[in-house]
Amino acid sequence: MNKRHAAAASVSTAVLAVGVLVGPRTGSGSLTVTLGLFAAILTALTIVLTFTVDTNARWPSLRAVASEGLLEVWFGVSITSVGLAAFVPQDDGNALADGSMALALWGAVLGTYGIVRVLQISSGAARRAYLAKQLRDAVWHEHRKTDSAQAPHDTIGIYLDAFERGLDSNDVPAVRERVAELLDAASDAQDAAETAIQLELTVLETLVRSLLRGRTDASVIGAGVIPEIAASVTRHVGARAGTAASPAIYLGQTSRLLAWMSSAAYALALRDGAETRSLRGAMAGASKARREILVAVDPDPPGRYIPDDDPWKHGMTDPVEAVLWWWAFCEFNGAHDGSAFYAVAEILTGEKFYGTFGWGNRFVLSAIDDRLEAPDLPADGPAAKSKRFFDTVGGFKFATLELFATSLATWRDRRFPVPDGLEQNWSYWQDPQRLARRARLYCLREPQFATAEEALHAVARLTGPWSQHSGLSGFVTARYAALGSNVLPAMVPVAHRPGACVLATALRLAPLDEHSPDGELADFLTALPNRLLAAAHALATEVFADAVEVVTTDPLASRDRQLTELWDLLRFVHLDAQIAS
Amino acid sequence: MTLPPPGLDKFERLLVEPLPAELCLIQLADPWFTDARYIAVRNLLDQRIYEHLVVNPASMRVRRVVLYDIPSDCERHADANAEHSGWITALVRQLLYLDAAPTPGVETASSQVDAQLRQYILGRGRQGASRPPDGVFFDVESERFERVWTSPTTIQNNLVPSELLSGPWQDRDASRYLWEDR
Repeated sequence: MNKRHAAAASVSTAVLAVGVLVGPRTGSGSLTVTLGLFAAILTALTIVLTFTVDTNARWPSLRAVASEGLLEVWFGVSITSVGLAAFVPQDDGNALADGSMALALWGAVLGTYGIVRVLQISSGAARRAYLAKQLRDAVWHEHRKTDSAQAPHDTIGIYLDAFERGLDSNDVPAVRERVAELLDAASDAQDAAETAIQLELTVLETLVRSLLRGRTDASVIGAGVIPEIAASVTRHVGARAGTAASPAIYLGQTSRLLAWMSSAAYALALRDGAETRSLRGAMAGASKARREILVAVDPDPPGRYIPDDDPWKHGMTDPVEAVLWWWAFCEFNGAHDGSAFYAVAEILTGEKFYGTFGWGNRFVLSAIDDRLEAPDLPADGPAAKSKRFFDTVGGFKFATLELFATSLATWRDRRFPVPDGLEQNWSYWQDPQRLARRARLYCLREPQFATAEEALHAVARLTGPWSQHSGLSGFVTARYAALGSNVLPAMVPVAHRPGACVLATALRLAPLDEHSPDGELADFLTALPNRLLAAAHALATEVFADAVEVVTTDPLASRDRQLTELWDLLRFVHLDAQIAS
Repeated sequence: MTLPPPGLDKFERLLVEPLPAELCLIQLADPWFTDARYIAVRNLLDQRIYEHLVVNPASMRVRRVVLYDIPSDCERHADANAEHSGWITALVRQLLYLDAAPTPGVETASSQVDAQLRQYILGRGRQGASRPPDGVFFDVESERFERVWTSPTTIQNNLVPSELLSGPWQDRDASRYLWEDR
């Protein structure tokens, strides 16, 4: 209420008060005045509510609006005043008459306030602020809920219903309004930040799935709204860093969800010939949002000014947190995963990686490994802390082998051309040399395994119980479980991806120089059980297709044929061999 | 009546001693899916046997008997059931990776691995139902083991989803996750 409105309200109230106090004190007079005031306010409220509250929408609910305008209080006071007036003696007023008049006056003030308040929250910034406050209060209550099995707070359910309704009717402005309310509420919910971030993730996931299912086809959803929510999650996670739960899992989940959105959009455009306008928006939005997450995590993002009040001023500093995020960032063939290696190198070792991966035979993973294995590491430095962590999950080389397999399992199926409009994402470039560079990003300077037998042991650890109970895959899956149903798509243990495990191991056994002897690789492939070989062959014919000229057959080809084809396909890794500088 | 816990030490010895040419295991007691210490030993042992067979497929004959279903009155049933199901699925997956379980369309005749898994069904499915004690045997024809192995309540579970081999089918088409329930 601005000053002019307040002044007008004060004058009206004063005039009304004078009128009531100097007016007749008879029973009929009191009844007439109280009833008149009650009826006048009721009529005005009815008109205002009719035009401001959509009873079908439920957001805000009629009950919440009534409560905001103190309408229950007004009704109680007014009806009491009318009741009292009914008992005032007909010809001569008494204290009862004074009481009913005072209540009527109070009721009139309350009613006027209610009308003004309801009008205020009917549109514009005040409505957004009001709804954000409603949501923030609900988040706060939800956060303090002791029994997690309890149903979500009513208001959250009503909000999500309204959000879904906007999606069903493809009402983009309504969806944007709901998102704006959520982001405001989350920004203002520092004392319940974790619950607010979880709600942001839920809305983000709903939006992503709706976009991919064609519930909404506006390109602005993928290109604008989704990155906006991702940025908000990043900001809020940064602001609450240092509290109990891991910030990395929120950023990681957001990153992998965005990567999945791109992969799924690509698959839909390819397989179903789905309309690509909204899918192009999704891919552009995913790339943009993932870049911003990477900028937040990177302790020193290139070309960016980071103000002092930025919650990610120093990027991510904890090595274990960085690994949790890195794992998720590499899933689903997501954009900028190569650049993420640079940020991770700095977080894990405290020092930048100065090379360019794939150029001059520089290998970022080897550079990190060299620093972690250096003698006399300062015990409290990042490298020593990283080394201690990696030692608990089988060592840095093995942990990154798991990461390699996890990434490889979700690389693009190269047998099909990239649909028009989706080629802006570097992940989908057709250039075989790029593919080789991408594979070498996950390789080491020297083969990790010296013999076929060592590689077979590695495959057994990756595909057996070890990876789930003692490896990085198991560690990451257990930590992300804290997000509950917000881990979407579900995390897949590396042991469930046998083809990728075999291929990753083969690429860590194969000499990267095509002139070096590769007898151990041949022995390794020959010694593989049929099914592991078949799984690797099936995956390789998809993700390495057309990188080298190999005539591939169906996945049920004979073992000998599979062996020959797989051997030939693995040659693609030599395509990006560089002269050592 | 609750069964006494199995002698864990017999299983622990298998973690450090050279693996025999024939190995038969009966693991029917509850602690294999309820007790963290047993679960840790179980995981290490499963890994050791699997790794040994991947590297040296013809070096060992393995027979294992585990529960088909946990007792319905098992304490903390949901957790125990999840642990048990995960264990059995992992064992089946390992056999599949080793070509020791049949799947349509993939050659298994040439497999050198001789490993089998059977599941023991509890009568009436309660704790009180009698079940053979756990044990480690080094002879597949051992009389005590043979009795359990060929018991009418011991079945061979041949239901092997091909997804266990190819990896999650969603990996091949990310859009499939769209239809997953939350």
